[in-house]
Amino acid sequence: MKNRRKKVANARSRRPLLHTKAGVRYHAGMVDPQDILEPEWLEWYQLEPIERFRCSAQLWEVYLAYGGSLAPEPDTQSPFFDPEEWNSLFANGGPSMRIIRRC
Amino acid sequence: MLMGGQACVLYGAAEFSRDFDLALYCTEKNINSFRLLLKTLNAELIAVPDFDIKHLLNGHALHFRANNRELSGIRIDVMSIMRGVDSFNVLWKKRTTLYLESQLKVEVMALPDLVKAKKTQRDKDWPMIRRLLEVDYFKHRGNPTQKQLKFWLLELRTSSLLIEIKNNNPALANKLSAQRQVLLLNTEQEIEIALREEELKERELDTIYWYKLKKELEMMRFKKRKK
Repeated sequence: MKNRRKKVANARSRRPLLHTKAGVRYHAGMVDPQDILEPEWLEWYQLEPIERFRCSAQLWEVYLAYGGSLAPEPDTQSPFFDPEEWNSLFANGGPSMRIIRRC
Repeated sequence: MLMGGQACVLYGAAEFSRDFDLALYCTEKNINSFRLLLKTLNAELIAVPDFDIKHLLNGHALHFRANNRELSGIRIDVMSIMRGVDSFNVLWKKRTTLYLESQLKVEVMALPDLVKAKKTQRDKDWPMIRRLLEVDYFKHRGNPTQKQLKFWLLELRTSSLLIEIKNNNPALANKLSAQRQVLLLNTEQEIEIALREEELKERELDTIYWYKLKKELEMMRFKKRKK
């Protein structure tokens, strides 16, 4: 049994490495992340938590600079959704961000 | 302990979240510390239920909005009991500690628990679960532990990856197929259908779980508006 495991492990380690970028390592025969992921997601997956934290913080700044609201979007599937609260919030157009002119 | 969207950002399944979801251990000391934090943030309670420990222990969430200068408008949602996961002290033992900046230490709900907690009735949580698993799988599949293999076999939601891990670990997949029928299937098409069925079942369980709590929330809102 041990020998068999060793053989399998050796066979796997002999497979050519196709991709060794940080966080993504695979051999021939394995699913290529590029086949199932959008390039942006692949890039995001490869980041470390601290890098994601920094990028997300930058997104916050951009989002707020463009007038994005921190009020939650109406989520009718959430157990906390209160239709009356949303009706009153959106009576005057609501707190969300919207495009007023396309360049 | 951080959970929800911000935890998903750190684990790689989301890029942005507009609020902070926290799991809070309901002890008097913790509640007092949390009240102090709310004071520092100049935070206000913005929805029912009231800030009462009994609501947290009943499984409700408390909703706050920070009003201090630095974090103005930020939503903070707090829960103590979540469907489908262990009690807080068990979750805490399994947590992940991340050091984001030299002074910033964040305690995050462990990935397997976050995946379980995300199995809700909402559409938007399911692609998130899929991505949480994919990030973890792609990062560690070159040298996985037995625990990781088991986690992926029981939770992965990407058919091609499920086939790959099954093919590489047939004995374990066979053993776990009693817990997850998807593991008995061999084609991507069959697996996709079974994954959708799994999702619908979980969503239904979440809807049932929240039925009583939602009724309580409606009653609280009614009483509050009547005042």
